[in-house]
Amino acid sequence: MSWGTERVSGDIGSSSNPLRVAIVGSGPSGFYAAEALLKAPLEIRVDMLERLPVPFGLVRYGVAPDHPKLKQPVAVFDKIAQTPNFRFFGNVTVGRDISVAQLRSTHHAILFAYGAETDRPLGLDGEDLPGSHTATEFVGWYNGHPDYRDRSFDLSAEVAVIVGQGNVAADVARVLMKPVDDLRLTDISQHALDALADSRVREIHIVGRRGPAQARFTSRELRELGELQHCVAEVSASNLQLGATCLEELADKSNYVAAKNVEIFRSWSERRAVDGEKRIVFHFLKQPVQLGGRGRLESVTLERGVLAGSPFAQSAQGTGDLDSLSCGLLFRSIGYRGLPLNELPFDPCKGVLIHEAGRIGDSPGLYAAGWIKRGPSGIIGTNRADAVATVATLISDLPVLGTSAKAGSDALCEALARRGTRIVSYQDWLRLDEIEVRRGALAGKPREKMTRVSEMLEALQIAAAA
Amino acid sequence: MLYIDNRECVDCSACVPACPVHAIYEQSDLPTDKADWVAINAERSVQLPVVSDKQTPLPTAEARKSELGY
Repeated sequence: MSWGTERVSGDIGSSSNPLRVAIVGSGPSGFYAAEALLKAPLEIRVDMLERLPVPFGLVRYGVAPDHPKLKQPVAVFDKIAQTPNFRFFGNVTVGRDISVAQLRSTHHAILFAYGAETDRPLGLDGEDLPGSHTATEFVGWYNGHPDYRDRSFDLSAEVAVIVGQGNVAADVARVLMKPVDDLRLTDISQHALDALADSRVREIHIVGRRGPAQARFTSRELRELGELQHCVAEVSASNLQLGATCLEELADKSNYVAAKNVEIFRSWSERRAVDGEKRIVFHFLKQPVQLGGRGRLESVTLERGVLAGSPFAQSAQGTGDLDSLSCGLLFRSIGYRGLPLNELPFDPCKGVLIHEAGRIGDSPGLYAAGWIKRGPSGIIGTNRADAVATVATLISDLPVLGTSAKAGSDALCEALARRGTRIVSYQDWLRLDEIEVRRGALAGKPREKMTRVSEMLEALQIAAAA
Repeated sequence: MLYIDNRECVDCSACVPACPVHAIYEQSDLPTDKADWVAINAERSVQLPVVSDKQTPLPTAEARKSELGY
């Protein structure tokens, strides 16, 4: 008796025609989307594509080394990655190794969760002076991201300025001000430890264009800045005389984070650093208008502003009052920014894909989750509800995702093999993970990350030959 | 009501803004008059089944929400 090779396509989501979804990006949004998809009562196959050989996005490369507990979501992602019907394709760049068009032919749906990898520029004269950097590159550098491995930061300046008042700014300040010995036993990259050991930074000015009630820190991160050894956080009392609109914002019970932040700022208003102590000084209602210096950064000109507008929509209006701050190091930390991909509809102002309820464009089959959908806001967990919502939209589109079965991961492997792409599987990642942990153990660290793609691929080759 | 198992919690903070009456706190933000709840959560969370789907709010939820000022 012979079995025909012709199969009648069942409904999408049935065992003869499983729903095949390609997820682009392996950070929290990608994994939370995979989790939601795999929980759906359907036959489903999830293929996750990541341009680096290693997964986890900003949980690996964004979370500060002295916040190890915030990396615990990796345990959740690891469980998801090891479920059947999930497959990881590392070292695969969508838009280069495989196109969106190709993925549309191999999968029923593509879910973009590739985050926001670049930064918002200040758009000022002098922004490119040596000594002026982005928080994005500094964080990537100390966290061992291959794209930033070869950046260098001159930490011989005593005074640094950070423009921006969010958690990334807090991370940069903390890493610069913590005693290096406190960082030695974290997973911070060795090359960063070596540079930080020679750092002469003693004074950091964290500048925000709005007021203390609009600062974007979460309370824990802000509080930590006042608890650093031999370092004092300073806020001038005049900054804490808030206007009626700010007070109205703070009275809103759902705005508890801002209320907590203001409480923390108030607790610092009597403190001043004494001789020998390092300082972190908060400036509010100040916006940089120019960076100056001959051949390298030497000062930043700040313009004083006033707040105008209704509650939760206040913006800073410049007054023309200028002030100059001498500094040798500056980090702009005013937000990450997403990049466009192939021909996907993209909003260049916000740096996000244009979507409706997570669905991109007019024809069903393309979706977005996480920062490339919402913009770079929120914390790790914020992406969970976001991804769940996008997946709900995707599932509701099932009747219009077409009826034919798709070839999925087999076709993907074939296409990538033709290009000679070295796919890194999840098992490969576990091997790299083991090597990193072993290397770290030699120095009392949780891991010593490999910082170049070539190093990662070589290690896999050696492991395979063994 | 629902309880959080502190051993499983990964501190991702996703739940904090999700609660409509801000009944969830990170431990460092827990008001001192609510300190007992740490032990209550630890005790009750292991006694009860794990919730993995959205629960129906109590019929009194909306009224209680307004009462609390949300």
